[in-house]
Amino acid sequence: MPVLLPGQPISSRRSVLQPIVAGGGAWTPATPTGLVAWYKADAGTSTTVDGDPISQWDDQSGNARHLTQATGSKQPLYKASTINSMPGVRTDGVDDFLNHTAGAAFVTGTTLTVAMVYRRVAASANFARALALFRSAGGNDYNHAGSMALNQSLQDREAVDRAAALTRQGPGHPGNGVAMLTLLWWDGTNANQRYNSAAATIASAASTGTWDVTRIVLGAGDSAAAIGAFGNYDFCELMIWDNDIGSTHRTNLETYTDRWGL
Amino acid sequence: MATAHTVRLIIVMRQGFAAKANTAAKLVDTVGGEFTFGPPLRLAGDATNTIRARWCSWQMTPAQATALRTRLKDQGLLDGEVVIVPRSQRGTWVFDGQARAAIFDARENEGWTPAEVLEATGLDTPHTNQ
Repeated sequence: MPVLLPGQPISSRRSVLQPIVAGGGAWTPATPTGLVAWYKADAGTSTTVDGDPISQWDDQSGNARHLTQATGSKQPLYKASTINSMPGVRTDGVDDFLNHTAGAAFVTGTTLTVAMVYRRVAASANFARALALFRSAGGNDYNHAGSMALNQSLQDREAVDRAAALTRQGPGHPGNGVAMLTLLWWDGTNANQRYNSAAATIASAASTGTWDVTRIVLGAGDSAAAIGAFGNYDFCELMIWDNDIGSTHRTNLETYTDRWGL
Repeated sequence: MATAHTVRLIIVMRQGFAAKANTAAKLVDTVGGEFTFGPPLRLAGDATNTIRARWCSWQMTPAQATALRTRLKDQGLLDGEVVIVPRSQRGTWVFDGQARAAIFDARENEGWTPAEVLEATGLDTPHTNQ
């Protein structure tokens, strides 16, 4: 058990609050089954120099789904102090994005959980993407079964997801600079959403179709053939599971992400 | 340790010179520079989405900035065809429609923002669906 010391950062003090799971260890994103990708800005970036471009952000799940960007002008920056004075990966809203393309789909069922800690730095183009999951056949990240886009739309609404050509829009975006834990999950019947531990309403019918995710794009999306819809964000942590992790793990996840000061 | 990447430039390149600009960029960024001038721009609101320019926002070292300017010249981009827009002209500079390239000082917190560049040039990004 860590000792609480005066002057110790909040993020450290909060470590004592981390949930304990069966077996005695602290809850981590690897605790639920089905973790397919996990990125956190305080580990695995190709640089830790403030303001340096990032060419790779390593997957912490053990699946080696590293996010990369070979073109220097498109590389996001490592920022030493973002949400809760902790590191973040900043995309510029013009051309930056990170990408992982797999040979085969790594999410294929009817269920999925996505959790992301991030904030919008500035509004950019209409429908600018924070995250896109592309299906194996390519095309767009919307209106195609098996793909998903998390975006900032013309109506300043965040978190649109797509499955089987259904549109689901979440609540209004909280604004620039506001740190968010966005939690999206599909339970096999419906899409669900929570922001910063509060339930959010999604306008939608029940979800149908199956996931077919072969590609992760962070900071942009839209078309698999021509990545666009670039967003200006600070990304701190992203976790993707190939199932509905369930309410207990969701609660533990929200406690786990308290380290970002949410 | 401080970053050596202290220069951020937003560069808008006419569509007709984009291929040569990417050739120049590849000589500066030998890993992936050929994709530098990729994101398209249209005349603001153009429903036909005709591509008029390509742009990039590049955080680079001063040496890279100098090298890029040299390589662009090597590809035929003459000094008189480029307009260098300092941060001091934020909000006042307006594109005259003549230059083949415009290079904006976009340093963090002080320089041109992407939205300001688009407004000053009369360009925007092609419509993205939803």
